[in-house]
Amino acid sequence: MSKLTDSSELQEAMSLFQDLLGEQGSAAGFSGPIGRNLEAGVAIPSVVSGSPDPGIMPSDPGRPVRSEVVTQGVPVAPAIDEIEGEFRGDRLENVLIAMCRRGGFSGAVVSDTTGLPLAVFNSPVDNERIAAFTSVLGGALDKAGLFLEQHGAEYISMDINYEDKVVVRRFFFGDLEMYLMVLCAQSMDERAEVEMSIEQIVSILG
Amino acid sequence: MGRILTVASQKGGVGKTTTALNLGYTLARLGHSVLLVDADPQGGIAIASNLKKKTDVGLVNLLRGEVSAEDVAVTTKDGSMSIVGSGVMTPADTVCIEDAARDGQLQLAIQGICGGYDYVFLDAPAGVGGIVTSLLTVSDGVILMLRCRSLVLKSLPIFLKLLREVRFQHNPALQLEGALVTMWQGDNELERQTLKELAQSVPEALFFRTVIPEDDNFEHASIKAVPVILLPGGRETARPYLELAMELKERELLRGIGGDADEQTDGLF
Repeated sequence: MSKLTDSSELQEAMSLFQDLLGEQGSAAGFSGPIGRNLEAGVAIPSVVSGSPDPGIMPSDPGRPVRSEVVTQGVPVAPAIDEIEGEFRGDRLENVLIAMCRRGGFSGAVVSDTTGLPLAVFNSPVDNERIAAFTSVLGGALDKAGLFLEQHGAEYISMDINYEDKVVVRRFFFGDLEMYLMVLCAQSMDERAEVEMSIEQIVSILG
Repeated sequence: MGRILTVASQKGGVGKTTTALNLGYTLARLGHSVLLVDADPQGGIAIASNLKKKTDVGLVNLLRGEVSAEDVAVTTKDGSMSIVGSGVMTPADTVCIEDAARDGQLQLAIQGICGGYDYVFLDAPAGVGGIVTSLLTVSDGVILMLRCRSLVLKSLPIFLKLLREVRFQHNPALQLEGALVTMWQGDNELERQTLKELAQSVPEALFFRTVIPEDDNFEHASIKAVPVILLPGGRETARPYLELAMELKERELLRGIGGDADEQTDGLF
C-alpha cells in the first residue's frame, strides 16, 4: 500500500522544509518524540536518517549574514568538518566551501533561474543583487547562443575589477535551469573545479 | 519590540484561532505582555473571545484612520492580554483589509500597534493571499498549523513556497518556528500512521513535540468565548498549550546561544 509520504506533494513539501530549515539553521529545541504530551504509547519517535544525536541542538542566529565584497586577495575557506551536512542546503554549502578551499576562490553561490540562492558561501553581494545578476548573465547566455547560433553557451567569465572576476556556469538539473557563480582572482583557472563541483551539486539535488 | 508570530495554515479549520488565543493567553498568564491581532476578515479571534462585547472597532478602523494605534487594542478584564479585532462588519471592510495588504498599509498598521509587547500573535486567514503575505512580511516567525489529514498535508507545498518567497524577497529573518499538529485523534489509526510517516520523513526539529489533541472542551470554550483553561474542567485540556508555551520559550532560549566548538564558548562578562 502506498504511503502518504510517497505522494509528489509530500515529497515536494519535505524538500521545501529541508530548504527552509537549512537556510535558517537548525531549529532550536531539545529533541524528543512528537506527541510527548500524549498518553503513553501514542508518542511517535522521530526516526530520521542522518538525524543528529538527541540533546541540545545549537542553532544559527535567525538573521542572515551579508558578506562584503572581497577585492583584495582570496580568503582561505574553513575546513569542511566545521560544516554540518545533515540537510541538502548544508551539503550544497559544503560543496561550495570545499571547492573554494581547493581552488582558492573567494566565494560561490548556487541559485535557480530566478536568482533564489540554494547555497551560499561568502557571497559577494546580497540576495537581491544575486537575483538581478543571475537574470542579467542568464539572459546574456541565451542571447549569445542565439546570435552566434551556438547551443553550448553555458559559461561566462567577467572581470569585475582589476583583480577579481566572477564566473557563471549554467547547468541543468532535469528541466530546472540553475547557476553556479564563483568569485575568484583573474589569474586563476577555475574551470576544472567548477565542473567537478557541478557534478557534486547535481548528485546532491538528485 | 518583542516577537511577532503569525499563526498560519494553508487549509482552514485546523485550529489557528484556537491556538493563537490559548497560546497567547497561556504566555500572558506566565507573565508576558501579549497582543493578539485578528487579521482574519472572518473575525476568528474577535468571535472566540467575544470581543464585540467590548467594541466593534478593530484593524479596519485603524487602517481608515478612525482610531489610533494606542486606542485600537482592548485589554481583557483580568489584565492579562490585549486584543485587536479585525473590525470587519461588512464585505467592504474585507476589501479594505485586502487593499491595505496590497499597498503596504497593513504592514505599517501592524508594526504601529506591536510596540511594547513581548509577544504579538497574528491570527492569519487560511491560504496564501495578500493578507498572509503581508503578515509574514512583518513577522519574526510563523507557526504552521497542521492536521494529520491528506488534504491538509498535500496542500503544504504552496504555503511553504510562499514562506520561501517572503523570506527571499521581503523578510530574510522570517523563521519557521515549527509545525504544530492539532486536532489530533489518537484513536484514529490512519492519523497515527500519518504522523509516524511524517516524523520519519521530515527534519526532526521541524515539528513541535507538543501535539494538540482534539477535545470537545475547545468547542465548549468557543461557545463561552474564553480560553479553554478558564472553562470548568478545562485545565487538563489546556495543558498542551502550557507545554507548547514552554517549548516555544525553549526554542527562543537556544536560538543564538552557543556553538559547536569549544572556542566558541563565550564568558558571561
